[in-house]
Amino acid sequence: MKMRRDTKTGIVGLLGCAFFLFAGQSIKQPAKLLEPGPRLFPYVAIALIALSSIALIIKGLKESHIEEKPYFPKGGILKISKSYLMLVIYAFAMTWLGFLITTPFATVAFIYDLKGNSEVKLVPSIIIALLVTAGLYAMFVFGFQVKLPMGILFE
Amino acid sequence: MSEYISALMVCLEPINLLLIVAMVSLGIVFGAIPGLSATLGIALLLPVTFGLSTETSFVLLLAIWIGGVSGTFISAVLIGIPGSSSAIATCFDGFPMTKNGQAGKALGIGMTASFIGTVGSVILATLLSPVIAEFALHLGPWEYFSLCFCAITLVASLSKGNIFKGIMAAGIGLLMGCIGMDPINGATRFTFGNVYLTAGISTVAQMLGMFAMCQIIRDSAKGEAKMPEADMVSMKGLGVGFKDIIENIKTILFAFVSGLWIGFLPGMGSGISNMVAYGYAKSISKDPESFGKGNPAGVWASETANNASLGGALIPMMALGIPGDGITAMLIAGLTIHGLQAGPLFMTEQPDLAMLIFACVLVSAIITYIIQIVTKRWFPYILKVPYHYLYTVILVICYIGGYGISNTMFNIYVMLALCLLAIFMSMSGLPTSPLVLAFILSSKLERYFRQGISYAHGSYKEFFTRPISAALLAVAMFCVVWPIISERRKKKAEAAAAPVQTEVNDD
Repeated sequence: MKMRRDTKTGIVGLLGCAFFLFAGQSIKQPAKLLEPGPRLFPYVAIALIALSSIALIIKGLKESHIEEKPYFPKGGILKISKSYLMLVIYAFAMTWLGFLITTPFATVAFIYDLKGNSEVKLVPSIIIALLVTAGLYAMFVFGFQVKLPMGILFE
Repeated sequence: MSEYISALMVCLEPINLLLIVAMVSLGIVFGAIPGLSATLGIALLLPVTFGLSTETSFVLLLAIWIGGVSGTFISAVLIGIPGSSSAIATCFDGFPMTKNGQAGKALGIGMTASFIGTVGSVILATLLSPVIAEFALHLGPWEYFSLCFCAITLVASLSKGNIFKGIMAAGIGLLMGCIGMDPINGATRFTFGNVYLTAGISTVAQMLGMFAMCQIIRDSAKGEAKMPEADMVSMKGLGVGFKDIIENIKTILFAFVSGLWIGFLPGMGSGISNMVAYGYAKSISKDPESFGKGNPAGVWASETANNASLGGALIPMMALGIPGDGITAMLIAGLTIHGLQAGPLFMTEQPDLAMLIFACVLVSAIITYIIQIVTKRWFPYILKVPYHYLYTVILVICYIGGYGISNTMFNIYVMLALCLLAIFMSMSGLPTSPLVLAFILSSKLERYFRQGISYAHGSYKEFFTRPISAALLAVAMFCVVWPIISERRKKKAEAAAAPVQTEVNDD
């Protein structure tokens, strides 16, 4: 029997609650307070998540006989994992090499990743990547006075 | 009045007028393209406002909001896909009108109805907000806590699907809001020794990660980042006249009032008002059969209502500091970035800025209408923008925005973590609206609750004995309990109907 998404969500929710309940023990509760103190709200939030997780697990089990449509089409999980990995790599590369060096490469990679069934040519993509990098750099750094990462290696 | 006129003069300064034109145009593009939205536009603009003055920041944010909400009818009319949920009902008759060769008229109605809805509702919001704010000044932390609590439960209960999913999302939002220093004693919570987390999770990082980034990679993985092409139809003139307005005046008036009221209630924004108004327009029509086949009244109703909700949502935001939906939550975040807090005190202590917000919405609505009249014939081109280039630029802007929050890479990693959370929530069917609202209101909710108990010397009684607080808590309880009862009733009715059906089949 395949586990329904509601059941999986409930289990993940309960695991998250256990983690935050444990982490919540380290919150210092000042003595002799007239009000409930800093631990109350995190515990209320955890209780809300835990109760709804249990309700979702029960709902998922009750409806286990009902066929569930997959959320992503075939290959969708792989595609979103690949896209997410690219976002993480871009963040790490930017940390070390800065915005100007990494963005043109990331832009070309994103264009190819997001193109779907559209046809994309390499040379125009490179030109667009360079223009986007230069344009955004000029707009934010000179126009809006927003700093951009220089990269640990170049600081 | 003098504050309003001076605010209007600020909006009409050449540089601000130019910014409004640019942002309204960008907003129309964001509203028109399915998948993009005014919410996304505001999320992307929030980091840009760090280095700008409060006035300029709000001119930018409000202009893209108005343009974005108004632009949603374009794709609904031209390709039958709504730019956002607020234009779903516009598709029902707008697209058939296009297929009947009346695209120009349908677009003209969409533009005019949006204009009527926005301008009318913002005028009412300008008049009513100071009165409500004045009244709100007499409320204590008990009433404010109950109001925030009521807003969150209302949004959670109206969430698509299951009430428990809404509650879970609200719980996650509250927990996220607990990260950092607590608002009363300054105790650190869930920081795990990280100095950057002491200040809590940035609202901008949350918006960029959970809305922009998640939406782009999710749509791409689902194969939804493409759409049918719009036909290049000939569109000359406005397409509607004064006579059309008079003929549909009853529909317009009801749509306006219902849109305004629905917008005022937390969680029931333009996504619901357009459907309610459409249903009413159909029910009062002498020819209900023509609805869904290209009846202009359907477009009038839907577009007037969804834009009237905009002014309705402004009232609780300005007068009480309570965001009605995701967009107003972001506007409140924009105020917070500039060290301001929406609410009754904001209305009395910063009347210039409060009036600037109302004036800017009015000016933006007028400019949106003018731009739409001038550029109407080019609307089909907006829908030809290649997604992969547009989305790529948006992703890069997200990184710039994430870095700009504190000039560190830390918020970019927070953004990535929240993007992952949003993907999980989306796959699980957990709605994001209760999370956003709970996250934005969490610190207020906690402060008012603990202050209330502190002021009452440790007693919880005041929450239930003060009439307004008790009434709001009763509404909140009803919001949680009613969906569960109605679902049970529905199941019982279905179960009762099943044997009868079987018997009939047996016969």
